[in-house]
Amino acid sequence: MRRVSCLLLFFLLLSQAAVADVESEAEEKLKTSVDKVFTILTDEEMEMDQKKIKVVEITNTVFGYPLMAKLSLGKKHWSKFNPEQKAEFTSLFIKLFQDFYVDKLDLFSDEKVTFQPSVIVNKKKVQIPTVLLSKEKEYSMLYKMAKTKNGWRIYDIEIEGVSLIHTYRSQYNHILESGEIEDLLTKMREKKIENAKVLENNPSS
Amino acid sequence: MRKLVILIPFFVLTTYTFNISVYAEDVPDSKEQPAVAVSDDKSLANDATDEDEDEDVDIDIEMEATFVKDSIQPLNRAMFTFNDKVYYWFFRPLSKGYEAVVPEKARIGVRHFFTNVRTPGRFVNCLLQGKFKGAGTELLRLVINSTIGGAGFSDPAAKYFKLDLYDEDFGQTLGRYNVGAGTFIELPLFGPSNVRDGIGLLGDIVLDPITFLSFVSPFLSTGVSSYNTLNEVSIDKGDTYEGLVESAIDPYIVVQDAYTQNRAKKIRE
Repeated sequence: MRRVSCLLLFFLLLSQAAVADVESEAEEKLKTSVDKVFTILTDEEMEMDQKKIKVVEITNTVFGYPLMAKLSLGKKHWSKFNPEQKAEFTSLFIKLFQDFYVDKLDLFSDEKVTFQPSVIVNKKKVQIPTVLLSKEKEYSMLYKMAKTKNGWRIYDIEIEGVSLIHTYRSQYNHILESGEIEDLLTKMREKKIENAKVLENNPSS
Repeated sequence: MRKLVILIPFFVLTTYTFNISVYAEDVPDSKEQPAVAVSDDKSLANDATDEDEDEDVDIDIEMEATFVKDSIQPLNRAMFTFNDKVYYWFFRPLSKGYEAVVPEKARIGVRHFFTNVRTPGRFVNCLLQGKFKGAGTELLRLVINSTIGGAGFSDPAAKYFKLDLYDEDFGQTLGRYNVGAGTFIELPLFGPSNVRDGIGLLGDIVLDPITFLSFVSPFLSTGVSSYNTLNEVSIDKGDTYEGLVESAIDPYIVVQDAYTQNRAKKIRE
């Protein structure tokens, strides 16, 4: 009996190693991060505030924020920003992006994610399709990851075909086509203050 | 009657904007419609300045040419504000109350019921697009869910038979046949759309069994439709719309962009 269970354990370990081999580095990184986030969110002991802090910590290691900020502006506009503007834009972008998903964490309930075979675009870019099952309805979510100096990082998420970065880009471009860089930064600063106020008024449950 | 009242501005809008969009074809793309024209970025790698850590990463954002024509933006924006108010002042509070009274399981059942009832539209559009497997699947789903699924209140077809929904509508069928989107239109109550999908919507309404309730009473079909919307909002907890709008610097542009991208994907599939 003992031998059988030993064998079984060995087999399990082996099969897991085999799977890890096939999985790309990017996929593994994404999977572990998603798992971690889900564990935190489903933890009934933890307070919401604490959950939010932890989730931000994890996502900070998997989102490629500087790259996302740059992509959300697009090549044409990014090159027009001076270094200070670039720095401020990037930090504002990160803050607004975090506000966006942190605010929605309390809505999490029984969601499940299934990973599908990833598509290797080239050796520095990979796309990982997943399916999010929520309230008996499936949503396609595509994670796009790039190999940066700090390892694999997410640079865009496409939900049901809607690229998040693209929605940011269309707004920023819209403002920049008719206004100055400073106008955009002002609007972003205002939004940041507004978000902070909203958080203050209804502290998370 | 109510339905008619709702439909009148819609017809006027469609015909009006259709004319505009026809005229707009001649006008070279001016600065007035810069909304989402960003697909010309072939590669963003080159834009990496020296201090950037990602300078060696060859990344382009894989975006289709989602150039959004927005010939009647002022009108659209006004309508967007109206719809937004309808959502925040009417649907949202109502859905909170509804959510508190009706358990989620029941609400998901109602969603399944409406999805099942609306099979004809999906079936016909699968056929029109030559998706015979899809049409067959929809038919099978209808049979399974209407019987074993308890009049459509659950979805055993997807759960046990792996028969997933084929979400097709007339707008997608037109897109499939290369009908251009035309100008973006924010429809009253129906929300974001464009000339193509607006025309498609008429077809969808004709094939929607709920429309036939208006033969009994026009209030009935409008009421049932609104109830369906309310039910959807309550399941979603307003996450999709609020998440999109509240995080935005320019909510109108975000909704427009998200709608356009989502429709492009649906047509591709």
